[in-house]
Formats: sequence, structure tokens, C-alpha cells
Amino acid sequence: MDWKINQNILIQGIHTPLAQYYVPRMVAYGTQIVGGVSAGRSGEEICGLPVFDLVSEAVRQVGELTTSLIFVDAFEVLDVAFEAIAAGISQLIIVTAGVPPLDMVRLFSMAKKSQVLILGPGSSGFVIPGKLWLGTGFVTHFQPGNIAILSRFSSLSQEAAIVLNDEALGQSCIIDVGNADLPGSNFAQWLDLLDADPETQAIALLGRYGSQEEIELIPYIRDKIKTPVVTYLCGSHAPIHRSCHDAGTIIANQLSYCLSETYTPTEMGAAFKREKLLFGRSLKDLPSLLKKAIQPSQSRARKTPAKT
Amino acid sequence: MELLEYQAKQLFEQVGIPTLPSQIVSDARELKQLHIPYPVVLKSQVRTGGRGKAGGIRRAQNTIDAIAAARSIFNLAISGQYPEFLLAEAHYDRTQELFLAVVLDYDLQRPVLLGSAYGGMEIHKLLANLHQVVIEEFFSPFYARHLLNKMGVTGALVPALTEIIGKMYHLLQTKDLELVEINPLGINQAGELMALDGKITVHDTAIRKHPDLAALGDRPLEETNVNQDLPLYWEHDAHGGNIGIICDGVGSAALIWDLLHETKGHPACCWILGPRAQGKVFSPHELDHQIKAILDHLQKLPQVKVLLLNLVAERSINQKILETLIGRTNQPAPIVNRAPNIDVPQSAPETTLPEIVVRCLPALDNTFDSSLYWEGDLEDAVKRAIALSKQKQIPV
Repeated sequence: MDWKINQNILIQGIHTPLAQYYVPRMVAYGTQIVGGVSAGRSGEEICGLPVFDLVSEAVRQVGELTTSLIFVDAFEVLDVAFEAIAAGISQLIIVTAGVPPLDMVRLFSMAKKSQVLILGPGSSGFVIPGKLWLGTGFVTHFQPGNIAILSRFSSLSQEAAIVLNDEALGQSCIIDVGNADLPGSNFAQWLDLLDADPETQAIALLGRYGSQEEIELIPYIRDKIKTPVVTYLCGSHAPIHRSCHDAGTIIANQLSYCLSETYTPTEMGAAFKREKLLFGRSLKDLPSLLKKAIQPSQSRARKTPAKT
Repeated sequence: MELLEYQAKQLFEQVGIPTLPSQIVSDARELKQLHIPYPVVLKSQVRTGGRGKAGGIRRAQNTIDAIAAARSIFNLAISGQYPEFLLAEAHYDRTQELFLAVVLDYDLQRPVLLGSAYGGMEIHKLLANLHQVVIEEFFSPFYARHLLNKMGVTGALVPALTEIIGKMYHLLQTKDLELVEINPLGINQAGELMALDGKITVHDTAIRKHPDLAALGDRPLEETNVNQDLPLYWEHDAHGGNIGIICDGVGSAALIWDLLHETKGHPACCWILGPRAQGKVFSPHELDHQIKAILDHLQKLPQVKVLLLNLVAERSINQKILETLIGRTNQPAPIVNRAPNIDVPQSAPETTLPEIVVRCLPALDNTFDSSLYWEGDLEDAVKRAIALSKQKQIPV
């Protein structure tokens, strides 16, 4: 996977209560955190880690850093992310939720130029069971294996892991893209990364009914992703409301106040099935669908030469 | 959060977008002291579109007219909302109406300028002629000129409108807004421009960053002052229901809600434990508060017959939640409470606490109240909750 794992990880905002709660847990899990940044506290030690005033100072002292976990206040996120990018860090996990979308817009332009991958904001992070825990949330139910869980909700990832564990399907990694209206990275980017991951035999994609992004993924999964993807969507009846769209739709809604044309749960399920994509109507369908996707390697082997 | 028209216009004034002389009215009698010359337009201040068509905007020629119009507007609900204020505004003779907006496009992840040469209430015509220009990198007035060109605007209007669009963009950027809209932007015979109606949406995350926005009116401030003790809460808005859910994440909340529906159960509400905003630690202290808040809330929800508690966090946190919840539900032991009024025969259903179904992983030793129903599997827990809710529906 292009995501560089477990080397030289930095915590920005190590003084925050949230960081101090999770850093010792991550370290105990085996995550190689080398230091923290907190302006004005250089020279101190927090959670047994050296603290620096600047990211560049941390780089000078401990060497090149691959990943930074950002725990600072929502309104400081843009600034510290800029600082991390300026210091050459190429992977950012923004744990903090509630970053103003226009700040994210500014961050995206910078990240694009510097080829920085951002997970979050509001992400519970990235977990490789038994090896690496970057973020918040709980890792209690994750077991090593070959199924990647790519999800919008950390609690749904846990429920999925419980169901998979029952069928002896461990997880290669668990990724939470976060709950932001403007996420730093989307499902498609992570599907690409997971597709290239040798540890991952199949992907469980956990999304939400009514979400435009999930619908738009259908042709992408069909055409671009070789690793089997099994989708489950939650919220067929639950009162989750969020509608972020393109400008035209926002205006149309704004003017006429009719609901936009979001897909009904039935239509969404049908859209996946129409393209013959693996789709679980219930979370409990995941293990059998995943097993079916992994096992008959003969039938897939037959398919491949037929195409060429 | 959507601002009311008069609040949007206050922001327009701050950046120099022209607005009409106006006055805020909270009672029809205040119109006797109106500082604006007649004729005036009275406009219902509600957060919804279609005010004009619904009768929420009326013209008045004199005080008597105005008071009558104001009374009827105050008594008129538009999409279920009654106005707390009216905006009394001077009348503006326009020969043309335009639509202008600056919007954060979530798909493109960029701000976008939008415009239509046909502003006003004819939405189909407006949308059919809607043009857009995406702002790459940073704003420069040429983007506005491109938009105006697409809209077919020519002549002296071009520089004047370019300036207004620039000011709208400035507002969006400096106040972290999602949308700034002027519809209609009136143009009179002299070619003068006037923002006749305004709409501004502030992204919820930005309200704390811009206290001046919260100070624009009482309503928005209230909305941001949610009780931080209360966990995130969902409610069934249409048909009620009789099962309450307590869990620790939005994803699992949605999962359980769906499962209940699919198994023909009726969820009433759901409390999602944990920090309301991330950046706060899930501390035992908050947990106490949250559970107390839930139990207080539950008192007001007699329809909730069963509580389904789903815990999949760390063992120590699961333990803590259960201890706090069960410890508390045991306090007002129903029998003690009922002892004084012996007249009431046996079970008065209002005072009985809901049945509690617990699904907890990793599993805990059951050292808790024996009346709890334990399930290891979520679907079983859902089935159990539904069975209990149905059983409870037929009290003697």
C-alpha cells in the first residue's frame, strides 16, 4: 500500500486531553510514535514522548516523519496541517472534528500540490490489527486477517469486525474516512490504496444510504478495483440527515425547498446489484459474501483470460 | 444554520452591499412608530422559501393597512414556522430582477459563483437560466465578469455587479459561510442595484469561530447553546415507537435503528453516548452526566417500554456505563415509590421503568440487576427488545 505504515509518527497537539488519553494506548498497541508538538512546551515530556515547539524542530531531532496525527482545536487544524506539510510530512490524520469546510478547501489546494494524503477530519483513524493503531475509537474487536474494512462510522466498523470474527475472517486494516462534509480523502482513494495492498484479499465497504458518494462509487468499483468489494449501507430507516451537493442542487433546494433527488434505499441497493456488485442487505450477509468473493479463485481465473 | 433575512441584510450592510431602509417589528403595534415612509413591504422572518406565494410578504399603503397586514402575517405559519419578527422595508421600483449566489460546492470542493438573469419567484425560469463559474485557487474579479458574461449582462451593470459579487465572496470567505444568496437583486430605471432579499447559511462548525454571527439574533444563539451534558439524540418524528436505544456511535445507532425496523419493531429514540464533539475525552465524569440526562429524559417519554443498550467499547468503559445506568435505575425503586398510594392497584404503567436489554461485547460478568436481559448477538438483542415491547403494550 502507498500509505507508509508505522514509521516515525508525530502527534500535533499532544497537550490536548484527547491525545493524552489515546497516545499511551496507541504506543502500547505497538505504534511507533516518536514525539509530539505543542507550541511553547519544547523540552517537556508528555506521555513519555519528547515535545517540540515546531514540526521542523521535531524533524531535525528525530529524523524524517511520515505521518502526523492532528489533535488540535478545530480552528487550529488548518495552521498545523500547513506546518506539517511545510516540514515534509506526507500523511495526515485529522482526528479533530468540526473543521470549517472553507479551511478544508484551503488545505486541499496545498495538499494537492505537495501530494499529501489526508484522512479525516473527524476520523477515528487507521488500524492494522495487532500492529498499528493510529487514531481514536476502540480496537477491542479487531483481529488480524485479510479483509479490509473501509467505513464512514467507527462504531459500524466495530460491529462489522464482530460479525467477521465470528466467521474467522480477520481484518487487514480498518479505515475510517471520517464524518466531515468535506473529507480529506474519499472512499475511491482508499479503495485504490487497498487494491494495491497485498495483505487485503477483499474489502468490506461500509457506507450510508442516501449518500451520493456511495452511488458514484459504483462504476469506479466495477471498472477500477480488482479486489472484491462487498458493500453494506446503513441508515435505511435511521434519521441521519445530511445533504451536501453540488452548487446547483444546493440552490435548487434552497429556492423550492423540495428535497433533492436522493436515492431511496431500495434504489441504492438495486443500483449496486444492477452492476453485479456484491451487496449485503444486512451486516450479517458480509461474511458469506466476502468468503464467496475470496474463495472461488478458479472461477475468477477463468474470467480473466476470457477478457483478454 | 440559516440566518433570517434581516440578519443576512445586516451582514450585507457591513460589507457595503446596498439594502433598503428597514425596521424590525416584533409586534403589530410597533408599526405606529415606523420610521420608513409608506408604501412599505412587510416580510415574515421565517427560514423557508416561498414566503411570497404563501402570503408572508405584503404591501401596505398606510398605518392601518400595515397593522392589519402585520397581524395576519404573525398568524400565518409558513412550512410550520410562525415568525417572531417582521421586516418592514421601503418599497423599491425595479425594472429587472437578477439572481446571484456564492456557494461552497461540496462535490467540487471549491466555492462557486452562480447567477441567473431571471431572479425572483419564478423558480423554473431562474434555474433554467442558471450559470456558474468555479473559483480556482483564489478569487479575482474576472471570475465575476465571466459569470456576468454567461448571464448575458452587459454595459454599466458589469462593473457594478462585479463589485457586489466580490463583496459576497468576501463575506463567504471571512465568515466561513456555506451560501450567500441575493434573490432578487433589483435593478431600477436608473440602473441602481438593491439586494431585495438575502439568504445566508453558516456552516455549523464556524459559529464558535465567529461570535458576531451568533450575536446577530437571539434564535441562532439558542441553537448553538445545546446542553453539553446531553448525548447526541435521535427521535422518531413520525409514528412514535416504544423502544429506546442507547449506544456509542452514529454507525451502530443507524444499524440498530434499521434492524428494529426490518424486524417490525418500533424505535422511539436513540441516545448516542460519547463526546458530542470530538476533541473531548470520553470521561467517566461526562458519562455520569450523560446517563443522568438520559434517565431524566426518559421520565418524559412514557412511551418507551424497552431500552436496548448496545455496548461494544473497551471492557472498562462498558462496565462503567452499565454501573452508572443500572446504579441509577435502581435508585427510584418503583415499589418504594408506589407504597404511599396504595389505592392504585398493582402496576401503574407510567411509573414502571422500561425493561432493559443489554448487548455487551466484550462480555461482562453479570453482577448487575437480575432483571436485565442479556444477549450476545445484536440481532437477538433486537428480537428480544421487540418481543418485550409487544408484551408491554397490553397492560392489564
